[in-house]
Amino acid sequence: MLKDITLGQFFPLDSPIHKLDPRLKIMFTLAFIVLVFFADSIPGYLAVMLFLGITVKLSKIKFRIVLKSAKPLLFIIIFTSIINLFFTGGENVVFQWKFLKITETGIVNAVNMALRLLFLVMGSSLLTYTTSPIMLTDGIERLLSPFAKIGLPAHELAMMMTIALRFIPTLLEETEKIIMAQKARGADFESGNIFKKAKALIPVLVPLFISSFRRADELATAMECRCYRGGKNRTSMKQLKICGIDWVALAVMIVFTACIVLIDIFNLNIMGY
Amino acid sequence: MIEVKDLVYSYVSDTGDNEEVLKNINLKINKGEFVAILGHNGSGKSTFAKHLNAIHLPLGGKVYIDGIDTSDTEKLWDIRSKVGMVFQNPDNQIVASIVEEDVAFAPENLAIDPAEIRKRVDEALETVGMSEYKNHAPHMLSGGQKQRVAIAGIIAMKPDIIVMDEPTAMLDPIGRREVIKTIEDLNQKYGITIVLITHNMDEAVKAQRVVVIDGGQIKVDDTPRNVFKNVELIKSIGLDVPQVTMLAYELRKVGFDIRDDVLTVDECTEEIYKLCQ
Amino acid sequence: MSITVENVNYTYGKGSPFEKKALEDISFTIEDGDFIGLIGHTGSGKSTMIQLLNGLIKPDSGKVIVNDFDLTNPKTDMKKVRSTVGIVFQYPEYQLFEETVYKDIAYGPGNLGKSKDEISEIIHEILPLVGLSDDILDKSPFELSGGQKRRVAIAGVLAMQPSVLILDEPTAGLDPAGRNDILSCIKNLHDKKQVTVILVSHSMEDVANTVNKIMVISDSHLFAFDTVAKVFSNSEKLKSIGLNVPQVTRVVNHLKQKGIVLPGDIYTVEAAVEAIKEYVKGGEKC
Repeated sequence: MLKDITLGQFFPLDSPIHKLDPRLKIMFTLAFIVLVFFADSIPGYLAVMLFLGITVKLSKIKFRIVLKSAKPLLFIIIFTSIINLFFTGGENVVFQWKFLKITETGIVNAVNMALRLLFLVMGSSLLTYTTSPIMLTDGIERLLSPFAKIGLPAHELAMMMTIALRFIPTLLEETEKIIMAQKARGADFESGNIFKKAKALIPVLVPLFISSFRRADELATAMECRCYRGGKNRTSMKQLKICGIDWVALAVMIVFTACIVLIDIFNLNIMGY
Repeated sequence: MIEVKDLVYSYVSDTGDNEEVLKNINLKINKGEFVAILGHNGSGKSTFAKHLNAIHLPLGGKVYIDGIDTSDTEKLWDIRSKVGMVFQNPDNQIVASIVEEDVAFAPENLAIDPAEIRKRVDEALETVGMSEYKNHAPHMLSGGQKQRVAIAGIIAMKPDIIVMDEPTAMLDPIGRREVIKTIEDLNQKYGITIVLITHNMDEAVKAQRVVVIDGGQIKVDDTPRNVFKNVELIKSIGLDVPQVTMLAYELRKVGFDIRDDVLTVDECTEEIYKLCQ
Repeated sequence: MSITVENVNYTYGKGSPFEKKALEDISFTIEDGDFIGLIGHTGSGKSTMIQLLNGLIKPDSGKVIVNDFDLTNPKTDMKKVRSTVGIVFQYPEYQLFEETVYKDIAYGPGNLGKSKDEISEIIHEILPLVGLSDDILDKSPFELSGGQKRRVAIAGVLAMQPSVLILDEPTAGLDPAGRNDILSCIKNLHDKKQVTVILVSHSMEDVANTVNKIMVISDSHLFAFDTVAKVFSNSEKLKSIGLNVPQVTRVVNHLKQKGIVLPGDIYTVEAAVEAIKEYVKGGEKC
């Protein structure tokens, strides 16, 4: 059933990575993404791979699952690699057939691109795999809260995300029910051209909209009854606190960053020479 | 304590007419009572319920909660935390995608200390028997379980009064039983005043007092026994009586000497047993 | 013309971690003109059962045959099946979508390819059957009362002129007066139009007052399928799966334990009154 699809794919396991403060995890993921672009040499990639490998191992999530996260992006990865492979200029031609030409730089660029994208996807999916949606929104809210002073509605954004996450499965289930009911009234969603198909969706979308508005209205009343009055003076049951394990992670991250930067400088030196 | 004095409420309908929903309602509900408000759809019972925690404000008359006038905007949050409210559709009152996070919602709004919230959340889930589901996603629970989570979310505010607006209307019999049992517990074990809005006679029977609303007015206000023995009146306003009460009524009609205020299967059996002796 | 279900099995979410057996080895035959009460807990498999009966889902194995249509045969014209077996789902008013009541009711027959004149004729014929009058046709379905919306939704299914009508808890959320109105509508339909009706309900009292056969599904199995009297006569067996018999039947059973055996099968108030009258009279004679 539709409602069984979990969003953001969170795997509730007990691991040091799961226990990390969500704010740190979000920052680390951002840092990781930047670092992947810095690391454009074999030692650099080896360092990233090692780091990613150890993190996945620690998270207790099967490596296969993390690797699978790249599957929806496989097309893009292959596509960009091919573009790089064939359309990079350079001296050392390895292979040529009519106008198609593969150069050494081309191969290096293609591999570079593929690896980077793969690392990016794997790194960021590890964030959603090990952080519950609610912790993620909480983390984002805290990280954005300093910007509230300049008018960024951090609490409202987080509340919207929370409610969206809460209602997506409910609305999916409802959609399924409405489709079923209209099918029983002879609706045909499969045949015809794209316009006919779009038109066939009206009997599903209209009831869905109406029901969403009704739900929103009822939810607003229920929230008011539970004394909701915006983000002001609100406390939170789950306090985010940086503790021992977070400090260790921070230290590891600093070491990793240093490694990548050093490798980068070292490489530049050789090349620059 | 709830005190309703000469309450009048109306709204402008789609056709532009002024429709009177509540006409001069007077009612006192004491601390610790379990009162069922019975009425058919459109009788004004839900509108009435929304006056008890200042979702609606009276157009005429007054509503007092522990002596506080509900139209006193300064005291709005005091009133809302004193009078909790549970609605019909459990899906549309659960805010968070994890049970315990949802239960924490109201105390978080009330700016309660995090350690105290934790305590309240655990206690509230324990009270409704949902502790083992505290880390579950609400959409994976049954209707009855969801409604108990919604109730826990209200208990976490530590209200003196809980108003329930048809809390079982969308549930199956098992869900109904769970929720009614929870409501009875809240009243008997924890001394919370319960106002149960319903059109289901089997639920109204569990209350200490039944107030029947029809056409925006209070028609009867008495114990369930005394209310349901007025079979003709109850039927005439589109409500039902328990099947056994109906049986006793029909038997009296054909000339049998049987008590008119039978409410349960056991009482009914006893009475008919006497007849057949 | 009947419904035959033979050794049907159905599993939800096959191959996913949520895999769950919904129906196991179900077989039964429903005769033309039957009025059946379908009873079972949420999750027992009864929703799956009704979806199978008009081909919304296909069984993993076994056969479903409705009025000579073999629903398991991929060549069967599903539109014809949909017009033979109508389903009114729970809270059907939530599937209304058109600007006017007329257009909404016309949606089903329109999908079946009926002409404008035919549709108009059908709508005027079924409207009184669900207790609605003509002046409602130009109104928006969204400005009606809850009870009226539900009748419009039921009319939308009836407009497909099914010979089998399945209603999934058609009285859910309605007050007693609304409930009685809908139930008498359905009874009327069955009696006057000779429609085979399957009524899914949680209320034993409602079922006892309206249907002539009861089907109980429990834990994906067909638990019982017999006349109302037979099914209710075994109240202990029903109790074992968490279902109850009507209050009146419970009174009669308690009396039996005390040594008073009332004559006949009793599951309605009227029957109980008659039986008690008879018993007491008989006693006087002795």
